[in-house]
Amino acid sequence: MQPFLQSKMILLLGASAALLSGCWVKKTTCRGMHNQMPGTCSEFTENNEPVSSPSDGLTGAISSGAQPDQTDSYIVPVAPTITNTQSTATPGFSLSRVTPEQLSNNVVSAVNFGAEPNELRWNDEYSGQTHDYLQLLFGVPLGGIDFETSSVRDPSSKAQTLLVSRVIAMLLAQASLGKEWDKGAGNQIVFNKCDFNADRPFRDSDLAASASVQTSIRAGEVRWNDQVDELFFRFYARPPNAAELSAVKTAFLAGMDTEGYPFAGWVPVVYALLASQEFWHQ
Amino acid sequence: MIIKPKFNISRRVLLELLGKTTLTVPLLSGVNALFPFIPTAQAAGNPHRFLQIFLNGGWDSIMATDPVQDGSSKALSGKFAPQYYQTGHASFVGNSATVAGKSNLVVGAGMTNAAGAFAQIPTAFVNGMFVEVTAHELAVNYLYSGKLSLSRSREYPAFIATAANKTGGFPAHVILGGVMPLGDTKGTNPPLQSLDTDVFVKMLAGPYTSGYQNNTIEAGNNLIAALNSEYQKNLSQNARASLSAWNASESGLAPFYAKRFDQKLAMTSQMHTDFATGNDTSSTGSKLAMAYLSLKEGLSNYVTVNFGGFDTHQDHVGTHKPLMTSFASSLATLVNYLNTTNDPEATTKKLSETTTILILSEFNRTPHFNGAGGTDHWQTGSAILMGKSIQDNVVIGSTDDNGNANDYGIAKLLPDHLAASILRAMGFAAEANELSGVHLNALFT
Repeated sequence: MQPFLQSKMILLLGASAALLSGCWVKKTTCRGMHNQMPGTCSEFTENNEPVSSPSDGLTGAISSGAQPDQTDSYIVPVAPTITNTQSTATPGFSLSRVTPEQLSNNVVSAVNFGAEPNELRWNDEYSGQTHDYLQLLFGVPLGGIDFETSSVRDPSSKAQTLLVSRVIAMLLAQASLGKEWDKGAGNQIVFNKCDFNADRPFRDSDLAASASVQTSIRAGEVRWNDQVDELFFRFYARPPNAAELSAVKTAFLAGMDTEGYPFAGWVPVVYALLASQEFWHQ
Repeated sequence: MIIKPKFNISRRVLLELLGKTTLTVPLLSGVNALFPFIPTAQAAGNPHRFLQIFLNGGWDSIMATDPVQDGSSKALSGKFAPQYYQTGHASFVGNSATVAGKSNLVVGAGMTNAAGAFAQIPTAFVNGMFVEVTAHELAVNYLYSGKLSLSRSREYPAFIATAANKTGGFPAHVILGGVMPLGDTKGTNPPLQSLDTDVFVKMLAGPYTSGYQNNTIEAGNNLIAALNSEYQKNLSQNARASLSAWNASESGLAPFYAKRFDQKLAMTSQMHTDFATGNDTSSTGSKLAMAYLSLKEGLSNYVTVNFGGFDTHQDHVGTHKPLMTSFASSLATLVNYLNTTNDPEATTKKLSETTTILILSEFNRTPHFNGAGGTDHWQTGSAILMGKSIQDNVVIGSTDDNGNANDYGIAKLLPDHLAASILRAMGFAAEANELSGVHLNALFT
């Protein structure tokens, strides 16, 4: 059974991914991870100047809580410096990883993907059972096989659980965004606060545009901020704080400029939200 | 009276045993002198890889390593089903075969497809292990760990630690084809396990085969780090502590992805053909092919592959023989690949020279058939050892005319002895002595 369901899942997600990548891929200057990946090449700014090392730029901005300048150096996003504040509160309760069933339910709530037939679940009319693709595909790394063997499920998080979380996050980000795209303009369920083909944050280089264009972009930024709020409420039942909003902006603009179209900016955002610790723990 | 040697044996009893049996009990203080290769077994440039293949359900040793010869006392005992005899019943189980150039190795009808593989590299059989229990879970644990205990880890902790050191911590152990209950090693040296090879490779790739450019993915990864940082600021002490394992794993994620094991472990079309994968990512061929690639690319030097379906309580011949025959074909391909591929660390040697292969099941099956044409569980065990450190053309242990385990020397041959001997041969004397002080000398070089 498993290979059949697996092939259906792959076809579905692959079709979604192909739809996304096939329609809007444009020429980009370069890609790579600065010598961390094979086949890399140098990155260049819009002025055709080599980009500085990944250690420059936004280091420290997240931990300090300060708003970073909206410069074009976002083209090369860098990992923020992580600073944890020691809590003086009571010890409190430990977190536990969500179960595979909870994960599937949370995905439905967050990105409206999984509730419809043949998205994440498959009903077997002969056995009367509902099977979950995430569990069938990733059951062992998620700490169990399926509901039938849940008595031997391992709820602990192993290193490979993290690997699985990243795979699932990217697959579902692509599939859910593809589903939203397929609904057509104005019919989105998740991205109902902005025009995801156009709205984006304002940045310094926009100052060179005409006043009317700037006004339009700023209006779009307001809607974009509302959309980020919407996503955070869907995923975490709360709005983003300033640091999180700033980090989302950075990731969005990096994705948009790398892939060449605004909609692509949501890919790293949704991927990150789906892969975050807050989404995987309770 | 059955004497079961203990690891903390006295010198006087040791000398008595050495005079009476072929079992060798090493002097604890002189272990290194007896086994000079131990200090270098896991040294850099001298790897000792371990590939463990477990056929879940209880395999039929008569079709594998302990066939019944026509006209033998076993055949005439009346305890064995006629379908197992070498001649006159070929339409059922079929003939056994002697491995070319290795007169001691006679394989049953289910393993004839692997006879060529056994001829290629050093191979030894173990028959007639006394498996005290015939309940699946307990027996699986026993054969994996060498201890009759449900709580015992099915991994070897000392070897896990060594394997983890080779890979920088993760994965310490690659497990294909099934869930493996783990002991304490799961927290310190976690494995990488998957039911099928497609998900296995997906885990290694992470988001990097999504079709998006690396810069986009890196933007997402950096956002994840930022979100996690903000999240943990508001957590209680216990909540933050419960994320420590996740945090520790995240710190090693980027360098792990950078190795692009997903690309290195991609099966070629030729491999799909040779291993007869049928493009089924959970097939026998797929799993063995992935095991080969895991060893070849250095993902881990400790690989376990699980296969199921051998618990044939019904239609034994119609079900069990095709299963074993198919496995034997895939095994032959695997050995051929190991024998023609250089070890990634000791490049002047082939992988077959640096890898010890162990093939076993939790127990054997009854020599007779039940009312449903199937077989049930039997209190004996068999195993196949191949590759590095294995003495060639050797069979130890045997079964009697009722299919029960004969004494090996003065005592029964136990899974404890086999596990301890393998560990000792791979350089883990201390861990071996925890299981048993017995060393099955005849099996190893």
